[in-house]
Amino acid sequence: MPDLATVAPASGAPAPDASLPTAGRRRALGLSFWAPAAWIALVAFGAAFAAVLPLKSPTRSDFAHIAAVPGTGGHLLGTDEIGRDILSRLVYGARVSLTVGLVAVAVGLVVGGAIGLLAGYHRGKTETVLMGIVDVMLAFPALVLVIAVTAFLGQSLRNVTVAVAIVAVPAFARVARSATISCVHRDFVTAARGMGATTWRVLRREVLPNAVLPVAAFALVVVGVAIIAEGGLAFLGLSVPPPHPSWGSMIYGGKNKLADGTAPFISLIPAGVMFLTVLSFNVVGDHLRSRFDTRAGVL
Amino acid sequence: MWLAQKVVRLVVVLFAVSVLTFLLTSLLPGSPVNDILGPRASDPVLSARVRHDLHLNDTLPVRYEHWLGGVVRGNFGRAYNDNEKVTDIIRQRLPVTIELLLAAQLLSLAVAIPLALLSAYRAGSRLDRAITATSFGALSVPDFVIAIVLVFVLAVRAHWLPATGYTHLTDSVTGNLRSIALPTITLALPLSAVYTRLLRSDLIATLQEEYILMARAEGLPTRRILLRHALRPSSFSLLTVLGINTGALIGGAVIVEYLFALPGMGSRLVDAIGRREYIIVQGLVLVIAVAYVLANFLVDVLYGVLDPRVRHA
Repeated sequence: MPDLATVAPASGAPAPDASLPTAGRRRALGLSFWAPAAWIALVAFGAAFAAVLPLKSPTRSDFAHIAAVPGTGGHLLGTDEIGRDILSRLVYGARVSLTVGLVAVAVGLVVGGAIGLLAGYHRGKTETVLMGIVDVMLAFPALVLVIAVTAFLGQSLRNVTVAVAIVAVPAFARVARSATISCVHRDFVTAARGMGATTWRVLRREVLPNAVLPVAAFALVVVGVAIIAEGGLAFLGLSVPPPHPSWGSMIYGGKNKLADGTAPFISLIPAGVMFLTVLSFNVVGDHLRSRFDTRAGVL
Repeated sequence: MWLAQKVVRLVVVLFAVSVLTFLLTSLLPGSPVNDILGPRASDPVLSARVRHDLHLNDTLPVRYEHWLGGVVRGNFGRAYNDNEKVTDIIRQRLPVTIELLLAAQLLSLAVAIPLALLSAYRAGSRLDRAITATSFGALSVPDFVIAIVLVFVLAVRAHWLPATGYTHLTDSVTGNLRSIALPTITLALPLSAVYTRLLRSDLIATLQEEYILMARAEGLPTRRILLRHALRPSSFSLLTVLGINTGALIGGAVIVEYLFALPGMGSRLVDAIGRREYIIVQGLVLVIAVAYVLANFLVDVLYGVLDPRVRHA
């Protein structure tokens, strides 16, 4: 699993086509941007309106149709190993994935971003202390930390989100710091300082608007990582407690029917949905990054 | 001087890691007394005994000192329920995890280096775009999905490899390799995608250097230029990420070991968390974090050895 620490430095490297001299920098956003963006919108729509959509119950079993093949027995995507409607579970499961993905990343973005901004702006002692804390947090393999925190806090959507957010903070701090450093010595910052602007004002009006785009593009990639992390937790039985659906627990639930080959779709459908969603966030993030990333290699 | 600074930093980070590990399992909610005794926790005599045995009546700094004092002397404590020594668990299980991690790193490099060379040499070609797109896709597949698909295809359908279980190296070398094949491929796939992307972009930059043009003008064969002149100067960020990735790998190893029933550190950690054996969790998390910090320290030092500029920066 590519975890946060992995993605951070990779995103500092030049984007694939950035290093090609012939690559046009400002191409119009084509299908490769809008298709994944539309998929994310669709998933988000499902998650938001799951309760009012004409769906079957995500937790009630249809005992007449257990492990029904997609399209049979009135179940568009079939039923799982105990007869629950897969489509409905996917839509409700999207709530878990998106909540963890978006909320944890938002928290990581704000807290980590603030740490990185301060460290990058003040340098010196502030930077040493803040980045020291960040380094210590990064010393724990991300998933191990998430597992440990969730296991001890208890299984709930809130706790899973908190655990993933804790892990996201140091990664964002690093990216935000390098984004800050790259604009702190620009003339307009010096000018603002020279005119007697307070630190707070310089940070808010001059540095933040310039540092926020690369960090935001990175955030989209982290959403994908967070969704995978939640899936991993669910797979270990540590995410939202059953019978609440989550994509990871759906994949895990269908594992045996996949292994004996009787109903591989129970695992493969949620696996495909998770793959498409994570891929979409990655592609959209990558597009935005290659648009805004003017500081390749600073990290 | 450069090395001394690194070592001081290493010691500080290790100390902080031990504190955080200790706090992680000591401060989080959930009383170990309840976990151990269950419904019998209401018995004041019993729970007082457990509290005494676990030193729960002491203050946090005293407990930390006690625990770290043991750890430094190689005593990680014992599991409360079955009196199993944490050191024994580590001794039995660490080699399995290390074997898995090394195998995954080697396999992913063996895949990534040729792919990156091919991709970078013909940058922009159809092959390059195919490799780039595939590696981008591979990054979006969770490892547990790779694992179950591999089991389905290679173990259940084709019967080529065992789906779960572990054969010790001392019992059978081929059996051992076969038993770690699927977990290794699972871990190596996303990893090789990261390495291919990274090495490719660095290689493309290197290939634009003048000395490469010079080598070409001298009529050196392409193979020689790529392997002798371009690969080494392009491999620095790969080296760094190799170290950083160990953390991602360990995380992946937890899931993969659990899924493939490998007797490594990760699967035991999941068990220990499930059974709330907090002394084991503490010990295993500490070993994992320390190993990760040391791996990155070594990479850091190696980086300085390979590129003298780092030492004088």
